[in-house]
Amino acid sequence: MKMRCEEIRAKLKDFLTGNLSFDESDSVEKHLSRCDSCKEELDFIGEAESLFAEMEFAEPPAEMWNNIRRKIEEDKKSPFRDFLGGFFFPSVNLRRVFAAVVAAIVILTGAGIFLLEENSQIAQSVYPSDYVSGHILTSYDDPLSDRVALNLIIAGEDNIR
Amino acid sequence: MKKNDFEDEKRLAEKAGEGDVKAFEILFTIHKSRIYNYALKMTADREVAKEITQEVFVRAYKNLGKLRQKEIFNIWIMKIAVNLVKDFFKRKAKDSAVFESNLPDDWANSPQNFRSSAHSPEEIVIKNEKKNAILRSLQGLKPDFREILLLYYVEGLSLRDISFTAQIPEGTVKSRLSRGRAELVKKIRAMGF
Repeated sequence: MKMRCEEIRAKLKDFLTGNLSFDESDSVEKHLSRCDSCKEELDFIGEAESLFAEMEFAEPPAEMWNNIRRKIEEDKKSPFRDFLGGFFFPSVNLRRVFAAVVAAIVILTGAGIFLLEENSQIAQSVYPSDYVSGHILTSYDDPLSDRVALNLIIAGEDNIR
Repeated sequence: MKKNDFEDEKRLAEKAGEGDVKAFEILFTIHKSRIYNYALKMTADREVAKEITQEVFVRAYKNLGKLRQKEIFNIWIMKIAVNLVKDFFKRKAKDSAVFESNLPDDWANSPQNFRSSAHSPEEIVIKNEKKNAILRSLQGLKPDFREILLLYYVEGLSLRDISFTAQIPEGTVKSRLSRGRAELVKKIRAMGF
């Protein structure tokens, strides 16, 4: 379709109802006098307008509101279904809350694991041999110094390696 | 619709969105006829039209709280109707086929479907024949064309609102309107009117 025809067709409804300015109406009329395709479109619009103008609304059945109200009330009375529905198909807000809770759990779990690791390292560094070796050092010149403890230090350091 | 009507309707939609059934009943009274008639002219089946209309309002009540712009309630509810009618055609797998009406042949002669301006018995007969031809021709169109013609001519929606309601680009609305209109008029002319 030519650009000119598209422009004219956009104005045909207003042309029919007399809502165009004198100049616009004149320009549409001139185009219609030499364009059969747009003239046919004008006829279709005019006929369709009159066909639909004759249509009237049918009366809806009277019992509809009672049926709708009953369904609405039934839905209100089943909070368990709503709860499950909300759980499986949560709203945007619920999804955000859920995401925040999951993120908090992940962060807290990560922090917990990190702290446990730290604690176990502390526990490892407090090896009994430290105390024993301290004792051995202070009682180095003691003739009753604990030879068994010395062996324990050696055995413990071997385990660490 | 006047500006005040829009504001009243917005207020009703806000109340209904908070669960006020009375407010929703008023909205139902305002819109039941247009929704039912759209469904009826699309499906040509009174029972289906009734079921669709009821489902439209039940869904509207359930989801109204989520509608942010309450002032577009009239277009939003029509969008629900358009979607449910489309679902109906999908279920029937007749989307691209010519729709077979199950209405009685004299349905168009029923006074509830048309305004009557004819007076003499001959005029009434001719008028009724033409009315019948219009409805049969409309039902003979593809649902895609019928949908756009009804939204444009009966609902009086703008091309932009039809684009929102039917969820298709405005250009597609224009082309379907033009093609649907041409097919409808050709069908009626072929019947001798």
